[in-house]
Amino acid sequence: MSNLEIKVYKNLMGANEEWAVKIRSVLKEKGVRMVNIIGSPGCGKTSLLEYIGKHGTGEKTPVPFAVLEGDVETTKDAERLNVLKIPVSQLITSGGCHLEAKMVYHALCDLDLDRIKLVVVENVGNLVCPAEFDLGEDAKIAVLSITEGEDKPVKYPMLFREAKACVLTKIDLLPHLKFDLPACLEYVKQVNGSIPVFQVSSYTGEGMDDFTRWFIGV
Amino acid sequence: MHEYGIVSTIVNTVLKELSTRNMEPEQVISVNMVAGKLHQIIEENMQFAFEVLTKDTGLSGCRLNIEFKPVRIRCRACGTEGEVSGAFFLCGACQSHDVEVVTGKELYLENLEVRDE
Ligand SMILES: Nc1nc2c(ncn2[C@@H]2O[C@H](COP(=O)(O)OP(=O)(O)OP(=O)(O)O)[C@@H](O)[C@H]2O)c(=O)[nH]1
Ligand SMILES: [Mg+2]
Ligand SMILES: [Zn+2]
Repeated sequence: MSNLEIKVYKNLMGANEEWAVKIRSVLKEKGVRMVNIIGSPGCGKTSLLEYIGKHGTGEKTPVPFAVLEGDVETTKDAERLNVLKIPVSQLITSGGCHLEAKMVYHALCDLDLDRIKLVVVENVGNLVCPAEFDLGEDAKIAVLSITEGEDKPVKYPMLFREAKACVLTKIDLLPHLKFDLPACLEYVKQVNGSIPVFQVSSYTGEGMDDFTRWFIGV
Repeated sequence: MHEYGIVSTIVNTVLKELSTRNMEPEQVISVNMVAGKLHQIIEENMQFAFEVLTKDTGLSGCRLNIEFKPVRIRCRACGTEGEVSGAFFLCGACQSHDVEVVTGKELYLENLEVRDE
């Protein structure tokens, strides 16, 4: 009796990758762009979208986009956007800590892609897992609220490596916190020196015009 | 936190592989996978998921071995390669931020060690 080695090379993200490829081809065919917004629970992702839905770029140009809302439970976020007449589908993961490409593919196909040029995915609140899953998007955006502390980019490097932009939210709270802004900017640069960092507040609108222009131009 | 999903792909792949070869799950000694450190996979969670998901499959007696690959980067400016420590994604030689990740993103099942009967 002896031991045998059986080679079984298998990419463990392969199944997700197949769906991501399908998403990419739908987006390409329809000329639609897609961004994937990732950040902790409560970092202000939906608030950013509400602000953009209400104010656009501040130049009275409406920004037409549809949203795929990923949440573990409830349709609360979809309802918030629905009030603003933003087309939105709620994806409920029932415990899943991230969105996978298969789910997004089906939701994407249900949208009226002949009328929409930009699809925004709001991922499940989580800094680790969503960064791992390719959704076939044009860009991932890392959202970090300043109440979470300046060290998050170095603690969760995968997300900040994968992202094409970083948004620091709740900047209106800066006077009330011991948040080291220069250190945070340095940490982002250390992990990924090539991405822009937008400092914004959905409450005061500070920095939102700049971010919105980048966002709709991805 | 998605360790469960990864392990469930592993278990399904292994069982399928064995059945195409007419082998029994009880013959498996170890299942060997590679994980880049950038994934921040937690070994303990993987082992726990493996224990739970192999129960009643005949694989419950085998080991899951995870080889963790360090995060290494290459500088696009000067070509220097090095290991990332403390999440410093910059070139150790010229301090450039323009670097690409060369290892650390792997996530695959590599092989099985089985008893030949
Ligand atoms: N001070 C301040 N609070 C904010 C800002 N943006 C959002 N908030 C508050 O932060 C909380 C969470 O905001 P959401 O927009 O729901 O955050 P989210 O990231 O969508 O949350 P989940 O989808 O549940 O992960 C709410 O109480 C918001 O009012 C901001 O710019 N400044
Ligand atoms: Mg939300
Ligand atoms: Zn260099």
